Amino acid sequence: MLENRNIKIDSIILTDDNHLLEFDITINSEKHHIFFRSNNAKLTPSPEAFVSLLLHPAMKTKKHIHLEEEIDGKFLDNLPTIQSIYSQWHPHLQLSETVQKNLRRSKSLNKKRERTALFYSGGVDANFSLLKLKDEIDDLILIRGFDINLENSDLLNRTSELAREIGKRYDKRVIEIETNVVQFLKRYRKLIHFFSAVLSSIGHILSSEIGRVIISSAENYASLTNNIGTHAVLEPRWSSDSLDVIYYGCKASRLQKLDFISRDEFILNYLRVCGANNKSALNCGECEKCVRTMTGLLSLNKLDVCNSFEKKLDVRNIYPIRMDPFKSYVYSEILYELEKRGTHRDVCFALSTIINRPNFITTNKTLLKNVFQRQKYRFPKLYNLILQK
Amino acid sequence: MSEKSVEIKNIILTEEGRNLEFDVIVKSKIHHLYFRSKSNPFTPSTEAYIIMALLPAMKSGQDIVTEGDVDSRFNNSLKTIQSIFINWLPHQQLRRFSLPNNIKQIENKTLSDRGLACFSGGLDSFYTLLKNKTQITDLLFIKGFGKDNEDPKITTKITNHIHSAAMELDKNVIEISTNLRPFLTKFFPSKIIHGAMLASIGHLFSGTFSSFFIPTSTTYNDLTPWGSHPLLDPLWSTNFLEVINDGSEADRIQKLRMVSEFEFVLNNLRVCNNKSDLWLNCGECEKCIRTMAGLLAIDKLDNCKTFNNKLSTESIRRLHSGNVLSSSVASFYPNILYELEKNEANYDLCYEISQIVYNRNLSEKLRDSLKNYLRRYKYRFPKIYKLFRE
Repeated sequence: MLENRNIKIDSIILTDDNHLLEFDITINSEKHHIFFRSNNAKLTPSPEAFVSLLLHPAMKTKKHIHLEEEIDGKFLDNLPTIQSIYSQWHPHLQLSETVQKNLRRSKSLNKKRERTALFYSGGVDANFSLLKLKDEIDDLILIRGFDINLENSDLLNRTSELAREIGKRYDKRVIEIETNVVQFLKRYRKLIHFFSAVLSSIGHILSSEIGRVIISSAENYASLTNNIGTHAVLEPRWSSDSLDVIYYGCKASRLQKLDFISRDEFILNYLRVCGANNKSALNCGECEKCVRTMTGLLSLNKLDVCNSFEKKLDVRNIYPIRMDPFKSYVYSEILYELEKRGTHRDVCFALSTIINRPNFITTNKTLLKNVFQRQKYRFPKLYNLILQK
Repeated sequence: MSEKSVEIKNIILTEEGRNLEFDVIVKSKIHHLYFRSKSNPFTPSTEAYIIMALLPAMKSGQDIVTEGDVDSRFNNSLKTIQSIFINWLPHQQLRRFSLPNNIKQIENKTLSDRGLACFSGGLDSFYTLLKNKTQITDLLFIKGFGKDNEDPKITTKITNHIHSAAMELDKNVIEISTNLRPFLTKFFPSKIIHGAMLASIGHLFSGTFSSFFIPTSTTYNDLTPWGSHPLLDPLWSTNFLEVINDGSEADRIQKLRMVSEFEFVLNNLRVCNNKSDLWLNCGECEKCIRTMAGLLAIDKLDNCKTFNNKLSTESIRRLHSGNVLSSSVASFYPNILYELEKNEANYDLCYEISQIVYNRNLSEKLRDSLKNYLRRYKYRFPKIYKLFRE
C-alpha cells in the first residue's frame, strides 16, 4: 500500500556504450518500460531528467516521486514554481508538496559542458534559432517519437534525412534521440501539456556532453499564451547547475521569423512544419500548420520559390481552421501583410472569415450563457432544476 | 545638450547620502528628479539611472548618456528588456538605444544577506513579506507612488500603519519620497512603468541589499503585458542585486487566506488609494470592493479593521454600471466569485459581481464582431465596399 503512494523509477540500464538508456516507471503497481536511444551522443541517467518526466503524472495522481539519487539544488529549488505554473495552467493538476517530498538535494556541483544544442524539428522557429545563433550552436537534437509515431518509420526517416542535410550544410552534429516516452505520458494528458517537460528531460539526459540547450519559442512577447506547450516563464526553470535551458525567439513574431528564414533558399526548401504527420510527406499542404506557413509565405511573396510543400495552397483548406488566441494573432498578422500587397483577395476573404467568425459566434453564445448563468443567483432552485434536466 | 541622447546629469548626493537629485534631459527638456530617504542613504547607481531613462529614451528614439560603468549581467539583459517593451507596445514605435558605458569588472565582493521588499501595506505586499520573512530584513515604502502624496495627514496615517505592521515582524522601514512617478507617467501610463520605477529605486539601495522583492498582483494564468511581470522583473538584476518578482503562484483568494491568519495584517491592510480622513480604506473603490469581497468569501471581513463599511450590492453596482472594467482588473473576480458563491447567503452580491465577470461589454463586442465579420466582403466586392465607405 505504501508503494502505491510513490511513482518509482528503477531498473535503470545504460548500454550500447552509453547510447541506450532504459528504465522502468511504476505507477499504481503498473510498470512501464521507457527507452531513449541516441545515434551518436552519450546519454546519462540524469535524476533531473526523471523528475521532469514524472512531474506531470505525479501531480495528476497526487503521488510522491521516489528516486534514490540526489537532485541538483538549482533544479529542486525551481520545482515548486514549475508546479505552480502547471497547476494554474492546467487545473486538473494539483499543486502538492508530496511530489518532491522524498527528493534529496545534491551537495556537489556538477560541471557544465561547453557544447550548445538546439532542439531541431525543421520548422520555422527552429530554423530561425539556427540561423540567428549558428555561431553558438554545436549540435541539433532531433527527437524521433515525439510528434511522429515510432511506427511511421518512413516519415521518421525522411525527417532524419532532412535534419542531416541541414546539419551538413551548417556544419552541426545531428543528435537523433529515439524514445517511447511520449506514448507513456499521453496516458495523462495531451502532448502539448508536457512538451516542455520532455524537452527538458532529453536535455538533461544529454548533459554529459551538452551544457546548454535551446528551445525555440513559437510566440513573441506580445502574444505569449499558456497553451502552446512551452513558455518563456517555464523553460528556463528546468535548468540545473549542469544544464542551461534557454528559450529563444520571443522577440520576433511568426511572420518576422518566416521573413528572416525565407531569405535562405536552402532552408526554404528543407522546411518541415506539418502537424498531420500521418503520411510520408514532410508537409501535407492541407493541415493547419501547413496552411499557416503557406499563407505566411504567400504574404511575403515567397510561396512560389518554396518547394517544401507537396501541394499548392488551396483556399478551401483555410475555412475549417478554428481560432485560438495564438492563431488569431498569427493569422491577423498574415492578413495585414496580404492586405498591404492588395493581392490574393480570395485568401484575404478566407482569413478574415476565420479570424472574425469565432468572435461573432462565440460572443453570441457567451452572451446567452452569461445571461443564463447569472440567474443562478436570482433563482437558484429553478437554475438547479434546469441543470438537472 | 545633445538632441540624440537622454542625458542624466548634475547628480548631487547630500545630507549624508539621504538626499539624491539629478537632471534627466529628454529632447532638450530638463526634468529635475529627487529622492529623499528618512533613514538609509542611497547608493549612486548607473543601473538605476539607466532604468529611469530607458522608456523615455526608447519612446523619443534617443540613446542614453550617463556616468559610470554598467554591470555585465544587467548589460546582457538590456537587449531582452528592450525587445519585451517593443513587442508589448507595437503602436508606440519604440526604438532601441545604445549605451556608451564600459562594463564593470566583476569584483570579488561578499554579497549582503539583507533583503529589501517593496511594501505598500496591500495584499500583495503582506503576502510577499510573510512568505519570505527570513530573507526580507527591510521594507521600502515609497511616498509618491500612489495618490497619497498630496495630503500629509493621510500619509502620516498610512506610514503609522506600515510601521505598526513592520514592528510585528521586527523589520526596518525605509521611507522615501520621490517625484519619479510623475516624470515617467509623462511618457507611459503607470501600468507600464511601475515595475521599472520600483526596480530603479531598488538599485539605489544596492550598496546595502542583495535582494529586492517586488510583490506582484498577476498570476501565471494572466501573463499579459504589465509593468511588473515575472519575465521582466528579474531582468533588472545585476551581479549584486537580485530583483525578484514574487507572488505569481497564488491568486487573490489564496493570498487572502494566507495573510488573514495574522491579526496584525487585518489591522493594517491598506489596499485603497483614495483619500479618506478616518479610514485606511474607503470601502467604495474597485480595489476596496475586490478585497472586501475576497475577505467575505473566506469569512474574514468582520475581522478586518481597516474597512468602515460592509460590502453592499449598491457599491458593486456603482462599480460596473455604465462602466467596463479593464480585462486585467476583471480577471481578479472569477475566483473571488467562485469562492463567494459557496455560501448562498452571498447570492445577491454574487449577482452583482457576475456582472463584472460576465458582462464584458458583450453587446458592444457583438456589434463589433458582426461589423468585422461583414468587413471581409471588402475582398469580394472592393468597389461596392469603397462606395459604401464614401
